[in-house]
Amino acid sequence: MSDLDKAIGLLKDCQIIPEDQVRDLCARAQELLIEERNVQVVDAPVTICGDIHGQFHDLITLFEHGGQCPDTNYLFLGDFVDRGFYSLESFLLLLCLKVRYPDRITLIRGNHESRQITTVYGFYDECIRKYGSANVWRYCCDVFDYLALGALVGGPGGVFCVHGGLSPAVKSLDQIRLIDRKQEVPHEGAMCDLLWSDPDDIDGWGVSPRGAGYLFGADKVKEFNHNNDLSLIARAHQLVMEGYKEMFDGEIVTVWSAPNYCYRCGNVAAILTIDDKLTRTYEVFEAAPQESKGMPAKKPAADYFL
Amino acid sequence: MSRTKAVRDTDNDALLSKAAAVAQGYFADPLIPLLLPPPSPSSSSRSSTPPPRRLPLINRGTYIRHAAVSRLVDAFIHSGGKQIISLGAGSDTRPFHLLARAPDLIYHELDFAVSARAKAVLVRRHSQLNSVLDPERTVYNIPEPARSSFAAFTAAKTQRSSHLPSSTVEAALTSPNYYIHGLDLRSLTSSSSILALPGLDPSLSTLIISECCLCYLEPAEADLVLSSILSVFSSSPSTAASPSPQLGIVSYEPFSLSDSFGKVMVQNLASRGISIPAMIAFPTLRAQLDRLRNLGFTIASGADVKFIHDIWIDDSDRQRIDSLEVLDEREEFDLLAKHYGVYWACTQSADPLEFCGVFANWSVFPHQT
Repeated sequence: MSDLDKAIGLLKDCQIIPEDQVRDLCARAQELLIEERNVQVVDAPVTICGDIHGQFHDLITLFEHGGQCPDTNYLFLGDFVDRGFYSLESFLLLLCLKVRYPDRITLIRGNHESRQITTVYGFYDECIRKYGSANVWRYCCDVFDYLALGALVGGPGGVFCVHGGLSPAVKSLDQIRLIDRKQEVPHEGAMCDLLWSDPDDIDGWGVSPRGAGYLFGADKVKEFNHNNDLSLIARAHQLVMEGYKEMFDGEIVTVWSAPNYCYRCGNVAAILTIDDKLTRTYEVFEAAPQESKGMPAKKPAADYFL
Repeated sequence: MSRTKAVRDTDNDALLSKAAAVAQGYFADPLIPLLLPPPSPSSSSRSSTPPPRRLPLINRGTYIRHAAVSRLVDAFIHSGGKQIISLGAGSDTRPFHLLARAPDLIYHELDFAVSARAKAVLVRRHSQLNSVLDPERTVYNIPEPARSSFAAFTAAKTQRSSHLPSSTVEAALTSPNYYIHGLDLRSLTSSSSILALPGLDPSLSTLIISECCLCYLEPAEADLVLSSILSVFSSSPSTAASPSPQLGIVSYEPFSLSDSFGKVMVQNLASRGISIPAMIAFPTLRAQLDRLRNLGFTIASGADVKFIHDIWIDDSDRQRIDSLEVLDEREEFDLLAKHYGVYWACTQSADPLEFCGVFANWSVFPHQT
């Protein structure tokens, strides 16, 4: 059994791998990712997954519902880390699968795959807690810089996949292809907007309450899809209590894959399979049970106002 | 862990949340560090405690709660309100801030005896806290030999108390305008038990503050506490020359809304040994306001934290808090904020839509129900 398969086995049991192995894994992942396009072309059928946020037990449940990799071809829309208690195990498992089966899993960047955000929302602290230093966090952040910004599924009339949404600075997919993505997520501009924006029931563009990215209306979605020969934008980024939500006559969908988000929100999760005829099939699933298969239990220490 | 201990520990949780929001710049409260427990012996950095950290959405919620309750309390003081009864006051710093600018206020704090004693120890220790009290007329009832304040604090936090409500009141601190009463709220079952509180003046219009306190009691127990206090402040006959005192309440607490978020909250809190019976009995703000009217408050209004965040906070303040830290999780904040509310109610209003007397200023606060 190769070291990689051993690492996958350990990680699937929610155990971390040694620091030097993480360093090698991240280096190999970077070599793969550097070859990927900003808008990576992905063949259908593919199963599209939204935010994971370190909810490792729920990621294992996701694979039980969607099928194991490499049997199922996966596309993850980012936000692997932060908030949940197992960001490391979740991200490293996905990264191992990427290195082991590069053509069967695509990882694109979410707004949490960023040095600045991970220091606020938990991934940095988790790395320090589990490894005693920031080295592993640094290796992972270096990988984040190489993640694709989007993906295109199914060719003409297909599906544009992105973590957040559209940008007023981006009229065409070709403009995304010109971005120099190998950097920390900037505070503004096209790359920032793709990772931060949200659809909203407005006309045109609006100010985002998140303080980064924009709000964009149905007109902008329809215009973008029309100009780029797309039938759908699949994005994540926003909690959806029902797991997924189509908007604007089905031209955009939000897919959310972290059930009972932060062990607190009570939502269900969903994944979306696009087959070779571009048919959409949603699979909805609930949070993993509290006591999961001998793996370290999740600790429901969600914050409340008391 | 006993349920009582679990409820007492919620005070520490709330204090740490306030300290985190203060450290991040949401509001100023230089007194909070004085009340923080010392670093645990296992902590690597004993010399300096780093400020606690909370997620941005928790900091924001803590700030909204603080701002909303403060505005309602301040409105009562500005209208001439003279007496406050704070239920489950814990390590609240509000009395020290209020007494500094309203020296004729009488402020009563009610909490478990161990918590009351622990706070009295800290008030005696820190001049920043006791400077608002007259040193000649302040009596600390702290068991001797005096331990170090932190040792007493720690002991108080870990000591278990009886499950049965004790009927005795232990005055941990008395001064002409500030009292810390150690008791189990469930022992307040009659007007005489209220009148037995040292220093309580039944002739003064009075405000009850309950920040996540009464909700921990069984609804029947909480009703008995409120009706006992109500009976004290409505018993004196009202005349034009000497109108009878009014009673008002400001409360902050969670609501289950009977939805999936609320159900998960009840489960998560139960796993920490905490149950909030009011969340089940009064799942919505409206249900809670109906309860207050039934108890004898003549007007009651309320708003959830999302409404307060969106409506009460003006643009410049919103820009200020937006700039403090990135709040990525908007949907989650909205979800969380809809499950907490502030409500305010008072007696003697002739018009159920208009607050009156020392509570008249409350009419200006936008409300949902």
